[in-house]
Amino acid sequence: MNKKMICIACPRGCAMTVNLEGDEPVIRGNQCSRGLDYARQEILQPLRMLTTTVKTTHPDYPRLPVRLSCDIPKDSLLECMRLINRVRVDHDCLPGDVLVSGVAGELVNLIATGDLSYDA
Amino acid sequence: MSQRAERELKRVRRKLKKKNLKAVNVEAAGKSIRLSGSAGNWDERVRAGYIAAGHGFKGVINDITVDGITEPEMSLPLVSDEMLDGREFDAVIVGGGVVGCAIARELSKMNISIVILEKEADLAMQASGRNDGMIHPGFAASPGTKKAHYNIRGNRMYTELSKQLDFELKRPGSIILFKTAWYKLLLPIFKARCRKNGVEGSWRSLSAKEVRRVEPNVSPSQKGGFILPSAGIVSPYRVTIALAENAVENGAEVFLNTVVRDLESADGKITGVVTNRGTLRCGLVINAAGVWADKLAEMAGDRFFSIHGRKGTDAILDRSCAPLQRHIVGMPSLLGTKNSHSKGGGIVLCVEGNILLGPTAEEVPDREDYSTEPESFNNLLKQLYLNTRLNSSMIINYYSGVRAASWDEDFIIEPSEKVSNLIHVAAIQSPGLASAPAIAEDVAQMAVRALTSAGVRVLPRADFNPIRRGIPAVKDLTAEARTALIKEDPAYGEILCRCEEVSRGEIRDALLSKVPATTIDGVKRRVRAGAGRCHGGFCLPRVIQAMASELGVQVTDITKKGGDSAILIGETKEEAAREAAV
Amino acid sequence: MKQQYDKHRYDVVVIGSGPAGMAAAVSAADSGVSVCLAEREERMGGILKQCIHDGFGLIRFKEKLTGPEYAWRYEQMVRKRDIDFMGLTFLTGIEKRENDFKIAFVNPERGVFEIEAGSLVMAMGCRERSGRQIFLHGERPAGIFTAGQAQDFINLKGFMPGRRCVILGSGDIGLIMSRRLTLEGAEVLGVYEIGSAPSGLTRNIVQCLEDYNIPLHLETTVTEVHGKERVEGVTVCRVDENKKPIMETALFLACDSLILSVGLIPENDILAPLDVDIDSVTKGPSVNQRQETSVPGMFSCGNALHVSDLVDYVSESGHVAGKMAAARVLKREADSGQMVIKKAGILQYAVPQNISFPVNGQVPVFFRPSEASDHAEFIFRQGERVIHKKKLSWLKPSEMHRLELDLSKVRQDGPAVTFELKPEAVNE
Repeated sequence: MNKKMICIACPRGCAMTVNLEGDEPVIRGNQCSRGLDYARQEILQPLRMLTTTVKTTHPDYPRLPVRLSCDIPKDSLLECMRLINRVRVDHDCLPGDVLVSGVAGELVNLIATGDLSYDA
Repeated sequence: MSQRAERELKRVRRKLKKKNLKAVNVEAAGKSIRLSGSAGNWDERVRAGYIAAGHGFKGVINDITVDGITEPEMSLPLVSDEMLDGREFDAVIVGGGVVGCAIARELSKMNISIVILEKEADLAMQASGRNDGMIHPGFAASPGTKKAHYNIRGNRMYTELSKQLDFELKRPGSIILFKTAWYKLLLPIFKARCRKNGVEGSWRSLSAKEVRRVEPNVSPSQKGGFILPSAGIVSPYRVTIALAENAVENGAEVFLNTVVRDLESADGKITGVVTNRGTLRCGLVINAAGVWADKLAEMAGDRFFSIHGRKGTDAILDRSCAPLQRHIVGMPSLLGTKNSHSKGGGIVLCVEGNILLGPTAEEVPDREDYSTEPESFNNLLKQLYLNTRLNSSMIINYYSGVRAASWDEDFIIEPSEKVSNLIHVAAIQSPGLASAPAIAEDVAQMAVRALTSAGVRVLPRADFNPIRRGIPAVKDLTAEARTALIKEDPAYGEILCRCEEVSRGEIRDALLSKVPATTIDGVKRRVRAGAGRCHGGFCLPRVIQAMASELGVQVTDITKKGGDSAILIGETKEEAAREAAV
Repeated sequence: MKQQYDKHRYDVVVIGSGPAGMAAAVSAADSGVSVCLAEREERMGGILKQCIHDGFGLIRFKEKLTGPEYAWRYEQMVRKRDIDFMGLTFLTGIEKRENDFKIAFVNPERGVFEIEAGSLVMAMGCRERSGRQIFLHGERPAGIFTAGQAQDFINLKGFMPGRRCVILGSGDIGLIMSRRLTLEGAEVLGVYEIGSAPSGLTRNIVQCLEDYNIPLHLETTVTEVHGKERVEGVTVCRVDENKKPIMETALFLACDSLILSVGLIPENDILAPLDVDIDSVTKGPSVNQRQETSVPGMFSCGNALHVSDLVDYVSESGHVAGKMAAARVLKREADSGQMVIKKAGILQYAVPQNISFPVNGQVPVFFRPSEASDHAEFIFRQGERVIHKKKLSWLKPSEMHRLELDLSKVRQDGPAVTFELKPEAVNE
């Protein structure tokens, strides 16, 4: 059985076919090794990055952009959104700062991707 | 009923039969002629209405129904309170269009109390804000009509008015282009009409070569033309707002979101004006209710005419087109205009530098149908052929308005014959904008007579101030003046709308003016934020925030045009906030 | 970096501090000239500030960054250098003089003021096409947004533009906003695209639509908007091969908002008085390999030059423009000649459009095909002499390509230079 797949690892978006008949999936159409990783993972369990915003108490910047520290299972995105939506930031931060550790399971942290400054 | 009226009714019946309009009934209704029964479609209803016109009746009332079409009701404001209950005004003007506002301004020269009631969230929201802004030269209207009379007078008055009220007026002149050479045979008729109507300026015929010289990009198909230099242009909503603001400066009041629901009468006199904000007492009522003027007349028990909506669509081209055309031009089809009650449209200039195509004409059952549709829009695009350098990719906006037409196609400007304190100013369609100042003069006199005869002592207001200052466009100031203004108030140096270069300070001024903007569209009409080529793409999020912070309201309370037109419907993450609260 | 300082002359002035402008300012400063970076918003970063999704920087930083992170990295580079940043500063006019430019600005602090620049880098980015530019008809209610507006409201301000949304057009921002709206709890009824292929990147179809079960309807468009005050619904309709709606297929969809993702237009209106040559396809200036426009000393980059798919390419073009703008000031030497590059085959456009002599070294060339093709060959030739050839696969108009070409192999006295994109028959 051949499964068609578009690699989303980079904007090139390679069209791949994955043959699942043997012990190891046979992947074709990828133009780099990231495609192989993506296809293997997609068969095992699709993972996605979640980027969103959190509320702040800042009068001029009411939302701060955030991401997770790593990809999470695709089917847990909406549940994770619910958890993140409860977060409220009330302090200075820089891109890369950990806002909440273990936001969606112990190993996944919530990371600021923008900066927020309360002085001036 | 007079024998003459009987005879005319018969003639109308005969004509209707000839046109196969068999299910239409004809009767006299007071001095008017009334049509009822049914028609197969809207076109037939319209045809019947015009058949009944021109038979010497005071008015035509068209109550013909069409299967499957219900005329939509007037849209109503959402507000309901008692704010105006018990208030008393000498003059209650119903309708905040250019006519109502011009009358308010004229009346504010007197020592009487005046109120404008407007059901929309801003002034000039209907026909007055949805037209081509042309101050017609007074050539198109037939000699002897009210349209011709008021147009000529009004056109003349605009020069002084624009200075007093600080709105821009330009007189680029208009050229009627000839399609074929034999149109020149009509020149004596053109000239006779100009003389009869009293058209100002040095109107004259132009050869094809002369036309090309004054209008280099004109279509090569033209065979000469007729130029009317007194044709002018204004921003129609800015004129309306300017008139109202000057009236307010002289004591008049304006209530938006206020609709007249009923009129209370006793002894042939209106005693109370029932609105969604309480019942007002009044000296007299001026019916300037536009497309709904017949409904207001009906509330007063004096429905001797009916209004039908005729939609027109205009398109606006990018400001960068300004150098491509110098005059207003049109190439009317002078033949076969029997069933057409519009001047045929053309290319009009805008005071802001944009070029406008328009308008189309289409009879519509919904008098507030401001939609556009591909068919009439594509017809509109045909006007582009008049100028070889314009094309449809230059279009940045298009919109529709609905003309308040009577079946007689002339203005109705007169005191009611049945109600002693009611004046009708109805069926004001093109050239209504051009005519408004002159109409207002006459209506003010009628109003003074009516008030005086009711025992009110009407005197000129000693402190009347004819001068009103608009919001200056900061980008048009000299560099020195602009810098000085910005040093005084940095808000004038922060540009929020980049296409039209509008500063935060100007947007704030629009919110603080005499008749302040309360909506996104209101700000756009006053200071042009969002009126440019990106259609508010960049500035909407900025304007909406500036408005909310200036007005001290929530961003989610800001509407596009009042009522239920909020731009945003809530915050993100509201659910989480609710969950957290539980 | 110094803020808002009262200097009146710079070697290089950069207009716009999005990814292209920041890169241009950095590379110009690295060439050792004085640089001013003018921005109409308060902060630098441009549209990246609201592009909170990831996928930026794979080429430039070999990392997958979000828009704000990518912008932050460049902002740090700008701040570390001797670059004067002027925020809230709006360009009102440019005057070309013999050897330099006089640029008029307005800002809240200084009012109207002028700055002289040896060379100028135009990095104004692009704007979204509005509903009017695609001749959208129907009523005029609140609830019609461009995808960028929706992105601004949701990501920066924290407001919802609607709860039941229809997306018209399949541009990348529209696809990305479909996902954002869904994550923020709105229902996206579908994405409607008049063309026969999506205009956004395939990966965005997968990760923004398919992941969330949002349907994509090709050859379908919105023919009418309903609702006098707030959007109450839209009529969607299939279109025939001439993109004319097939009225029998009209369908009413109840929704409270319509979000438009129908294309981007480079912002070059300010250039009109200067008579800069504009490429009728890209809507950006025609430039030579140094990204210099037809006005000597004026350079263009990023989405103002041509709309890119990738921010990495935008930054790259900013670096080229900044460096070349600096070089122009340091060594003011007239070009010895110019040649227009011809296009052939299924080439929609290619940037640069011209070659100025003398030429040295490799330069990046960006192009898009005019139609989809499984396989094609890019041929760079002068007359009949082929200078370079490259086979390419899976070409689509929605995806931009980049090649590095050695233009120095072009002979100034030779025949015309052509970029040809030749579709190839495939044997599978």
